[in-house]
Amino acid sequence: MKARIGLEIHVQLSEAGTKLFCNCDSEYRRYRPNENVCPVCLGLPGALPVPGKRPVELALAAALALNCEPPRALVFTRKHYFYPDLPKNYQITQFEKVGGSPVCTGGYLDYLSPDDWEWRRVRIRRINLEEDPGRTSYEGSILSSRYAYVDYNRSGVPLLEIVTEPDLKSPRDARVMVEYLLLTLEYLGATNPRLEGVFRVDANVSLEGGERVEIKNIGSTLDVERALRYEINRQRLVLERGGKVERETRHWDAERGVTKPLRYKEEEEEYLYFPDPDLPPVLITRDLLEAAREKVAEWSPRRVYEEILGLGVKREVAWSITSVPAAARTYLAGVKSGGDPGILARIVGVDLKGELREQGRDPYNPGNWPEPGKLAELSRLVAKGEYTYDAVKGLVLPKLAANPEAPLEELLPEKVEDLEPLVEEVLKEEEKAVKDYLGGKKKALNYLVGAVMRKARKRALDPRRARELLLKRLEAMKTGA
Amino acid sequence: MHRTPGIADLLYAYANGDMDPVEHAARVLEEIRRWEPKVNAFISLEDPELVLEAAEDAGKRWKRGEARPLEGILVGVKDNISTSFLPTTAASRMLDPYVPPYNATVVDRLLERGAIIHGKLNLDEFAMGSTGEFSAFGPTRNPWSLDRVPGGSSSGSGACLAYAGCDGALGSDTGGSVRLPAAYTATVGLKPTYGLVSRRGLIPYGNSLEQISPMARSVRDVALLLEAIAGWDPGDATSLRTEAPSLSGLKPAEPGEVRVCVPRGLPELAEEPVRKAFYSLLERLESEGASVGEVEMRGVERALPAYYTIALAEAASNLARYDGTLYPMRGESGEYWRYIAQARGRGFGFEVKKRILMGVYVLSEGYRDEYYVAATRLRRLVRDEVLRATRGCILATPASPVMPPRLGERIGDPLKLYAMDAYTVIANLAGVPALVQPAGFHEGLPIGVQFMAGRLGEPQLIRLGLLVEELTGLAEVVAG
Amino acid sequence: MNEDWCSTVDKLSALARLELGGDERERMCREVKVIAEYLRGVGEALKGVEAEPLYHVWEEESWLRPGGEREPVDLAWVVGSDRVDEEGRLKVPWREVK
Repeated sequence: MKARIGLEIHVQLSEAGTKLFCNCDSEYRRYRPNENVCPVCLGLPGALPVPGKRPVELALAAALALNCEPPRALVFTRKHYFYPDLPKNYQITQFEKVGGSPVCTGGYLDYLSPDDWEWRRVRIRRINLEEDPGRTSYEGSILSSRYAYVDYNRSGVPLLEIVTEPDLKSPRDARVMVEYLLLTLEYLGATNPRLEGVFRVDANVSLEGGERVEIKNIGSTLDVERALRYEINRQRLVLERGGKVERETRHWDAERGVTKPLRYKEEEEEYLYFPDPDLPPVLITRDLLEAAREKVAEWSPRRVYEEILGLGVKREVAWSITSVPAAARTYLAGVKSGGDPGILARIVGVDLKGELREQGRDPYNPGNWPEPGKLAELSRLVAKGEYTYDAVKGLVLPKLAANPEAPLEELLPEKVEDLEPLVEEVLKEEEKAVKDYLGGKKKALNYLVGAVMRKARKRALDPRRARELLLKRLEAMKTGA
Repeated sequence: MHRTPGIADLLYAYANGDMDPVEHAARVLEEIRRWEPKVNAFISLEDPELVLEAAEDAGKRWKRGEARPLEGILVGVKDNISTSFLPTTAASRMLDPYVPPYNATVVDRLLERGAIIHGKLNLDEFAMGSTGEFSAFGPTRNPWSLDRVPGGSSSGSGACLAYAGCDGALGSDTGGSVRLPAAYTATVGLKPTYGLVSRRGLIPYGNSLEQISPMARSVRDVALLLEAIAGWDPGDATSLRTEAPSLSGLKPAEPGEVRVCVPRGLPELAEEPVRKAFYSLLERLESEGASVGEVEMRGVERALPAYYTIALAEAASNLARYDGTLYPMRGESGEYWRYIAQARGRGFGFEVKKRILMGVYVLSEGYRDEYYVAATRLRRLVRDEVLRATRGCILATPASPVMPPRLGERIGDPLKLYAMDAYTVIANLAGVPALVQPAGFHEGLPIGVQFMAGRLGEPQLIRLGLLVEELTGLAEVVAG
Repeated sequence: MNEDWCSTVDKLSALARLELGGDERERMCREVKVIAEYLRGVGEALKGVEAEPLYHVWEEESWLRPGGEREPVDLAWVVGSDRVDEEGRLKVPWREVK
């Protein structure tokens, strides 16, 4: 049974700096409850919203990155419903009717599936730029709490509501798409997808022969996959037993891993939409458009990924670099300053990234990456054969991960200049292996190389040279005998 | 009837040392003590000690030569304009006693220019009304005749001027709310071009229509006040990015350069005394050499329902926020949905509830196109007609179709109440400035005349107003 | 006829979350009917007239706020400290608990 999946993704423009209509902070998580509020985002009588430049620029860039035809102007519309987290009891959002004009009314996103390395396309139906409501919490359960406890710090944070067409084929596909979308927005400097609660997903899913079911409240990309998988199985079972899948809205319970019908009946929708009289249209000027276009063109996951592929890097490694913007910046800057593209890719995309993770240091934080020139130098040393990759990996990268500021000279291991004595020692001590080799067991040579390496301890030694020397001495022993 | 010095006179007298701000403030406070029990123009008054202290400071500044443009002038502010130092209730139980954490932009501008804000003025609840009777703090009475209303919704603004309880006042005008009070209290009200004055801090009723508007006892004084509060405010996205106009130095218009036209059919809606006063003023202007003509305007006969449709839609939306959670009035139930419905049921008066329900009605899915969207289309028609007409002349109409009504006379029938705004709503729909000033008296009751100019035509209105004042001699008059 | 309007009034007051007390409902049914019929006159005036809706009277564009200082307010000061819990969150009645 084929599934048709469409998503509604809410993403905060957490990096906008300010809220959508006031100067409160767009990143509210660092504040105590209700410390990031002002008359505008509390909706106090007489306070007036004024659209912020940064949020508008970022929303426009997002729309262009999703291949939308930009509107002539943005219009903000009031949407009315009563809830404790909505201080004005209307949300300033966008609407395509009654004089409204959203930031996007049709576009698409090509996203890379790291499962089969195919590019896939999802159509974007619409994007709204709107205010996030505040946050409500309850004592115990929402059903039995005496009070709703409201924190308005989030109220007014710029939020994109991105609605896709039902083009997604599987739970995994939906997850991959969301991850790519978030990465795209991160590349624009619009959002930090790793912040708690920075995005929420509602999913629509229908199977052939069944009605469309909406799942609300999905809070992570992993849960997009889990929730959809659960829901598709549930619907399949219903259909297989000859039952009917009714049109309904369900709630994702992440703790139990199930979707549950909403207990209350949703009221007839009557949002009383009309253009906000406090907010004249925001004209999309040529300047705004140019700035947004530049932002999109200079830096996107696809551009970066393809650029890295073009340097001869394997797609797994190229994607590993691309998926972490700080890594991508470091890598591309490193190549630019003369780094060896292949070796640098292994350092950035595989081993240093892994080492950062190992040490619990966030690879998304640009401050945790060494200066690109330093890594470029390292890659050159390996390319020239001054050090082996393994020596760099084993001896340098762990230290660099722990302290990206450390100067390279201090990190590079002492080199073994007097290789011959070491080789002689090994030939003396490893009589059996020598005998084996001379007796025709070619593999014994590898063991001997390893023994020389062990003798070098923490100093850097080129195994190729060790092998050459060993061979020369062994051949001499052969002919000598 | 007698005369009392206005803002311009006071500034002149302060400057020359002929009068002291403390002496003046004491006199105003005395008038308030005398009249307030009968008139009820104020909802809250600043502590008299503080007022006198402020006046003393003003006196010192005048002596030191550091006086600011409105130094020592007592300005009353309508109680739907936010002040952080006095409660701001919009005359609603819902907001009694809400104290805003910030000042409206106009309040800051007045204070920066040396004005003393000595009290907050009564109004119809949330500015919804044309008589001043819908206040949760009781109706305001007209000082010219205490059994009559002073007009609304800026009822306290008109009334305090009429008994000399303030030198100037701020009102707000959504559909005539300073111009009706001006007409009924023999004072002057000027609704500015939409966007000329910041609305930041004005508790909204009909955002797309309204402006904070100055009131005073003379055209010159209104110009002084408007000059002080006008100009772009980055905190109001609808405020116009223009320089504040220079208005205080304007001279009366020369009659020969004045062109006035009357929208055909409109004056005929008015009661006879109003019509007579209106036409006799026009004749006087004409005899002085002004040109007086007629102009045909489409759509204006339906301006009133279009205006109400838009105002009510915006009102229903604006008033959604008052739900018992952030503002003083609370509900009783422990259950959220009941609690908010109770708080709203208890906090709003009947008129406000009615306007909210009508606003929901005209915006709801099945009716929106037929009502709300239709009204916005008619609005375009009216605006274009007004802009076209005002390119060639200043439009003149009576200010109100009726004489100041007795208390209780108009509020029983909603359509009779709305009809009071027939002349004034046109300027709000069209966004243009409109001035109301005294045209005459009939049996001791004031009658006003209205002039409308094109966008940012305030200087033209002021100059015509000064001329009319010269002809009628009706400036700086007070009751009693 | 009035009955129809009363059911409209009931729907509107449910949507507006507005409790009508005592004799308010009766009076509301009458007056809402009168006003609704009056306001419908706008449509008639538009017959044969071409006019696009006008939502902002000057049809000018908004300016964009460049960002600037935060101007935080103290919620407890605005709403009264009894409505705020120890953590600073607003307390809103939610469920009747016995």
